Amino acid sequence: MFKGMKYVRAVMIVWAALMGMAHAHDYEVGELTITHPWSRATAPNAANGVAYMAITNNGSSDDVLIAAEAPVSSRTELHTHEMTDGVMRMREVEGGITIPAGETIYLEPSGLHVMLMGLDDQLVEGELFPLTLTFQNAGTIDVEAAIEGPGAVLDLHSDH
Amino acid sequence: MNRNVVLTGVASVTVAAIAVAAGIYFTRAPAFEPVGLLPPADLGGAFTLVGSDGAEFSSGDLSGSGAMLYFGFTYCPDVCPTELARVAGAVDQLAEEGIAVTPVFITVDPERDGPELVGDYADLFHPDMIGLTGSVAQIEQVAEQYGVYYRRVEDGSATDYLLDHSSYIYLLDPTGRLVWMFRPTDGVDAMVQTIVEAAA
Ligand SMILES: [Cu+2]
Repeated sequence: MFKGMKYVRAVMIVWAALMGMAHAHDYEVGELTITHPWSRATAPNAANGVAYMAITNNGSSDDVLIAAEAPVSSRTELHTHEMTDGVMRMREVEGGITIPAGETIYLEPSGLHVMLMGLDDQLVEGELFPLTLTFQNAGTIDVEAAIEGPGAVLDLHSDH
Repeated sequence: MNRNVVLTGVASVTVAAIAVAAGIYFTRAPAFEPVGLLPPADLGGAFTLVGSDGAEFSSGDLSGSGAMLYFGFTYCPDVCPTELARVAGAVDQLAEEGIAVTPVFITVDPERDGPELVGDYADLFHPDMIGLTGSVAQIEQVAEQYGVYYRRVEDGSATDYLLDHSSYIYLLDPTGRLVWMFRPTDGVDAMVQTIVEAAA
């Protein structure tokens, strides 16, 4: 079992190197796997930041990401984007982000994201910051988001 | 006829032959699909705004190189950084092709985005990126000229609001004329190839 875990780690590290990331990391809570929470570097006095990740539901019932909290920002919301006629509309997701049983939901650029509002500190590339995620069924988990470049677009799909 | 003239004549014929050969080669190459949109003729034009140093900045200050404009706001951490990183990537690739294009970020949120904020935000994405703001009236005018839609999402908060905004990249030629528009779905390589072909 432990050996198996070690092997998974090694594969993750190789995968991270291939993806050109500083490192990849994942977390388990209940039946959920949270893959590589990441963020983007911000300007010195930027008000807002963002966090992305992939969330896989290995269970047989749906779960819902209902809240995210980060000490780096005074407020956090769960957002999505819609684009119609070339206009981007960013909106809060009412009722949280559903993670259907057996599926992976991607929080990624120009789509679902955790919006960090009222940043206290600049987010610096290469650093990490803590993020607490709360799910309706699986409960609460503390993760760390890896800060990538200011306009980074990571593709976590190839991991699955 | 002196020798130099003969040599020049031979050289011209050689150049012409290479050009014909190249023409045949390119017409036989698979058709290249340009990306983006030809802007309506009434869009674009000169503008005067405020630079990151607080001083007046006019579109004439960009002349001598092309420019890629993106309209957004610094409180936007998701779509705007994605698009500005695409602008920065395109500008670098175009420089390698010998085409000088200045990246420009213009805020549509002048009430919150002062000169320092737009300057710091632009610096994040490219060392040459110019960040611009202006008075509410100046921003309204330039947005209207370029057909940029933006609207504050009313949530009852005076300082913590979001903006809906159109998301195009505008290409100006070195004379300041709006020549092309790119959408978020247009890949960087395809944008660069479109511009290289158009400039050829
Ligand atoms: Cu958002």
